Amino acid sequence: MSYTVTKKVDAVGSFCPGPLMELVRGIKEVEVGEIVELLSSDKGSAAEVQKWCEKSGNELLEIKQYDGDTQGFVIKKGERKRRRRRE
Amino acid sequence: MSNNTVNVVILGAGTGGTIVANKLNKKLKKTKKPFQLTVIDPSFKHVYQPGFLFTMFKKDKTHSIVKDGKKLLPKNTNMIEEKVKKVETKDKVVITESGTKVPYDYLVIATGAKLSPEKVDWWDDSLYHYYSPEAADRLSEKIENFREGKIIIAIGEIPYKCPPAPIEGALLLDDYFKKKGIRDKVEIQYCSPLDRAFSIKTVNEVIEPIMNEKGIEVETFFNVDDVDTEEKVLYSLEGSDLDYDLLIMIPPHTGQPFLHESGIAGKSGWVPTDRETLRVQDQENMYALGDTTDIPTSKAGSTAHYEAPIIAENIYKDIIGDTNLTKYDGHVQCFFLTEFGKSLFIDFNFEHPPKPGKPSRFWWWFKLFFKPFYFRAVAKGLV
Repeated sequence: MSYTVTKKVDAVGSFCPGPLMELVRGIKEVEVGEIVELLSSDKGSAAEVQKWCEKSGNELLEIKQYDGDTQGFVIKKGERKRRRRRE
Repeated sequence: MSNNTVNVVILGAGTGGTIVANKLNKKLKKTKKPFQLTVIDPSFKHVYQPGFLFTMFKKDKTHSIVKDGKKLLPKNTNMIEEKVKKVETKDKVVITESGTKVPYDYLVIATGAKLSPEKVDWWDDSLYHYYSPEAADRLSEKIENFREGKIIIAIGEIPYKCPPAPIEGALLLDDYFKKKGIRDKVEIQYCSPLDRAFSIKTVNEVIEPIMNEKGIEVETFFNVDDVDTEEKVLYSLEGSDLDYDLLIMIPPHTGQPFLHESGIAGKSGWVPTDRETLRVQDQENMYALGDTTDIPTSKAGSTAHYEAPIIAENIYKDIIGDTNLTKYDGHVQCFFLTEFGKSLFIDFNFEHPPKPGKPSRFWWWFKLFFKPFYFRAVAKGLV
């Protein structure tokens, strides 16, 4: 799979809900279509990140396995749909 | 150590700083070495923050939860009522805003969490919350006059102080409007940034069914992205938008900015702290406790209460040359109010998650008893 990671968010050593909250912060800082990689060693992250991506309309492209417990979640920022938008 | 006097400087006179001062004072007296305890705080107003859940419903008075912090400290403490400008860690000196230089041999950082709504561009001062005495009083007027419509409680950002408090607020609103006889006209919704209402799974297994039973709607994975206070719409990063009549928004929190400016903490202001020894990472003779640390546990008075004796013990041991440091095990205890008259009790540490039972009247009464007990015994380091 070919892509360029725009932002890497290192949440290794952080516990639930830390990694997800770091991912939320990271996603806020990139544009639609850009890619964030979250690094997490928390075992609960896989299920939580997948569920969050489904709900939020962001696309989980890949889960990488690094040394030890560390995993990399590669996420492409999706378009958000809003009923109304503040000017 | 200047003139052989051991200078211990504590930044902050909240729960953590006050208990450390009281515990350490007793221990240092035992060493028979000369010492000076200094506490620096901008106001010395000691706020019993669990009381906000009562003042927001006018079930307690603000003056009974805000006390003169100087009266809770040992009489021999040097008290400096000022903001801290900077800590010169190389020279071991605290510099106050007026320029006073306070040298230290040991520094304890207990400066708590700062409400930092300016951190997000969507904050509007018309939003309500109950995380300060003034804000809880302002909200109490709004709640008293609320007759019908939809109330949303949402979290500005994680981390925030006292993780149960937003859910407790929702549960108490339910009870308040039930007792007023207008619950059928008031919709209550709770927005959680996570995939469940409460972060700790074992507690959530008890609390979310209670919220469901009481008709409190739980919106999960709701990370606040924007608020339109004119149209009264709350937007999430996940793409949801919710209409409201009254929005109660827990403001974003940070550590104190001077900690970042002094090179002690990162941008967020949370102090990198060893979760067992409570020593600040990469700093000499510096400890941190309570809300200001980056330790992955609840930001709560109870955490500071159980951390404070560890710091007092470790400073004492260091002074007498005992290298066997005492370790914090992550112990936290707290009440989780489910209605006016019932509460859960939660007890956990780093290794053992909480096993909450059922809400009971016993823990409710214990909670009521705890406030006078806190001012008379806990803050004074007697327990």
